[in-house]
Amino acid sequence: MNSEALSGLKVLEYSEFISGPHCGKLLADLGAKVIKVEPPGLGDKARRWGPFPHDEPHPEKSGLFLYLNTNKLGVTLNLESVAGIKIFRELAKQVDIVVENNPPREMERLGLDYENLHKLNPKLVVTSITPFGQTGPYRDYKSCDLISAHMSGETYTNPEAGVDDTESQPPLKPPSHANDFLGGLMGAICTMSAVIARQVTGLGQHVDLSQQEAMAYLLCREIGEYNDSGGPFYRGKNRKKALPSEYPCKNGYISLSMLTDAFWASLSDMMGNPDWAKSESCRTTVLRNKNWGTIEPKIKEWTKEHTVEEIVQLAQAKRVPCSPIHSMKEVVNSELLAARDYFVEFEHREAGRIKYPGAPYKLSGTPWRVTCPAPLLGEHNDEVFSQMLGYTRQDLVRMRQAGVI
Amino acid sequence: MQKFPLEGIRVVDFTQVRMGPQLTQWLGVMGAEVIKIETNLRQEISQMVGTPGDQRLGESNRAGYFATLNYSKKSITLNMKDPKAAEIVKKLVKLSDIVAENFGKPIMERWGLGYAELKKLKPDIIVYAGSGWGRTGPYTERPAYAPIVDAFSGLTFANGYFGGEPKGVGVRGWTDSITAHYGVFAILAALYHRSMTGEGQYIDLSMAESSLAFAPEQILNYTMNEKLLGRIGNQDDFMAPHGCYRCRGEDKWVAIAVSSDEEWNAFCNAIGNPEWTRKEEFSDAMSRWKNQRELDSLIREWTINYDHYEVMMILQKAGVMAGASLNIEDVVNDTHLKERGFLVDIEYPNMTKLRRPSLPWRLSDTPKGNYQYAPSLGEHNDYVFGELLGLSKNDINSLEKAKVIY
Repeated sequence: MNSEALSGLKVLEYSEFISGPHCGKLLADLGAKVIKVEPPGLGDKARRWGPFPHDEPHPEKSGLFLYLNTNKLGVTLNLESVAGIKIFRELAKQVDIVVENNPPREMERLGLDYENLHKLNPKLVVTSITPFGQTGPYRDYKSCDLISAHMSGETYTNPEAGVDDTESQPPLKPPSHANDFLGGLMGAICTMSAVIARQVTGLGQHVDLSQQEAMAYLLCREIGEYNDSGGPFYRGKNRKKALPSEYPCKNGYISLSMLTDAFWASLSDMMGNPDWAKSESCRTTVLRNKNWGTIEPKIKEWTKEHTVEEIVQLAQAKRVPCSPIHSMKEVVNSELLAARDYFVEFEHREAGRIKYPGAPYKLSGTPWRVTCPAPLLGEHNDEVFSQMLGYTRQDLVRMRQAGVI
Repeated sequence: MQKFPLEGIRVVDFTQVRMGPQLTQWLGVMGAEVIKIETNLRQEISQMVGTPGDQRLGESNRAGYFATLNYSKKSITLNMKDPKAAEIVKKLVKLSDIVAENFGKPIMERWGLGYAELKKLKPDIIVYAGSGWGRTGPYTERPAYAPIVDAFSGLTFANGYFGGEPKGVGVRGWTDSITAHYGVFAILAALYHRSMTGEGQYIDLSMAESSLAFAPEQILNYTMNEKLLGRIGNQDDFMAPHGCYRCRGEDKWVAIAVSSDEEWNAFCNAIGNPEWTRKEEFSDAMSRWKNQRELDSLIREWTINYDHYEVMMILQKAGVMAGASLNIEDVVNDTHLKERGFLVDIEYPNMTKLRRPSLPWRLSDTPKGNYQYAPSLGEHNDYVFGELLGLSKNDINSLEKAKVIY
């Protein structure tokens, strides 16, 4: 019995940093055999990113790399060498899927674009994850997460509650590398759909994942409204025409839901039923949203007088949805996530024992798991090049000397 | 010849509002037959928001919000309060491949439609159960609202301007969307597994855990070094310039990022090599990062003279990462997105067509997608109860009268 959902699928991953590796990880973590190709020497850029234990940079101890490359086999290949390209092509003949996140021109230059790969192996699903896609006027634009986020419209809507001053506060990028992670996730969805298609047609396809489109698509509601009724949209305070959820307390911040009249009544109770909360301007959701400008500061006045813990207790008693605004300290120590077995700890030969996040899905039949940690640079050269391609140890030594691997 | 990958797959869809419907919509666009179970007894909040085209608000199932998330699906009405309804669902499950719900509580189980029961009817059934906090653990009874979930997960803590207060993340339904997409992936993986082994399974997917999924850098900073990463807005850990700069016009901005000396030189050339670019404090990457405040205000003095698209084109031509910061109108009118066919027009039988973003699903030998108009309430009752389940017109009438089909 197969206890891994994607066992049997073979993937060749030629990608670095986040978007491509995240796609590869999603497949590897559910049992696909993922061979990750890195350039010899420096390897994947994520190896230089960190975080590092004790802030001591080391190419085998970068948290981002260790997380994104679990369950993968790691090989080195110099794709600037003719021999390296040949080996890549030999591997491509034997796998089901290629995942890459290189600029379209780059893959063309190397002769590893879809047309060429398809000729080599018509069953190959090739997933290309790029900032703007394989076609169009921005196709060759250089990008990073900041650029992709701003060009998707997402930053226009961030923060949700709007900004105090649109002159001095620009549209806001969401935390860390959300756009890159999203690209990887969408890439994995599209990859699996092509694999399923192939079960009927016997043929592979090119998956063209544009990170700009992936994120802009999430604005389907805003874009829908724009097309239906023309907006208007603006970034200023109360752009959402609703009371914000975030409030400062004595010792931190809290998130309180004021969505319904029932919640508002309970919140008033919590605040000791002050007169202002019973006034006409607070009576309905519509009125409260209209008068948020006067209401919000009054709520803040109250929250600032209390600790997070006090307010949580009051809110729970009144059944008002609320949560402290957790830092990672509270998240990592959360009783909920412990009960859910969300975090996993495992050993890595160089980096040691570290606690990592798990997956947001629990599959009853084919559970997510880590069977091996992220590979050392070139760790599986032997295994992959000998077993899959029949090279001998001496061949590998020569290749190393020649700078091919 | 099969056009779409999920043709022949049938989904019994109990999902509501955002997180679930967005997921089942992907399945519908990829070719699956998604049968949405609704009822006259209760409206989803999405049915009450937004006015599409020439429809009046409240004309059932046509509200903009609903239409945005429920195209490419079929609709039937069933009053699940009546035990006969659950019996009908069981018949439907026998003909289906996936059952999707996001009640968060054991409501399916209460109806006798939990995974154990469904598995007896169809051993290879795939059941997707989305929830706010997971179907196990101490928070199963708590309601899940995105701002609350994001506060819990550390996402809100990490979102905000440099040195500023934590702010709820924008884009309506951000976390719901991320959850939905992990769900699509998990279901496709389960479908693949089923095709190879004949086995179905139960998928428990949590919004709180999905909200966390893009944060391994923050998580590992804590688990490795007990460090807490604060809010850095549009700034970066090491790149400078890296930010969003004011351009000509009302509320127009451009994002610029420089990650190497080579790119810095290209940037300086592109803006005409002004004197200030040769200052010592901008001479190497580390110094630029240390002095980014000054650097940013000097850059602003240049960008303010140009249209945001202009800056993007000038800098991209020079090989520098730059992007106009698009608002909603910009996204709809963007040349590149237009050429890519980002927007799709969904035709309706008796209403103006709906223009919506297409799914970022582009396969080279597959048509764009199975885009069908969002159904009216119970529009497919006859098809599902009559054709699929073989109930006679009389039976259907009786069930309607008895408010089972309702």
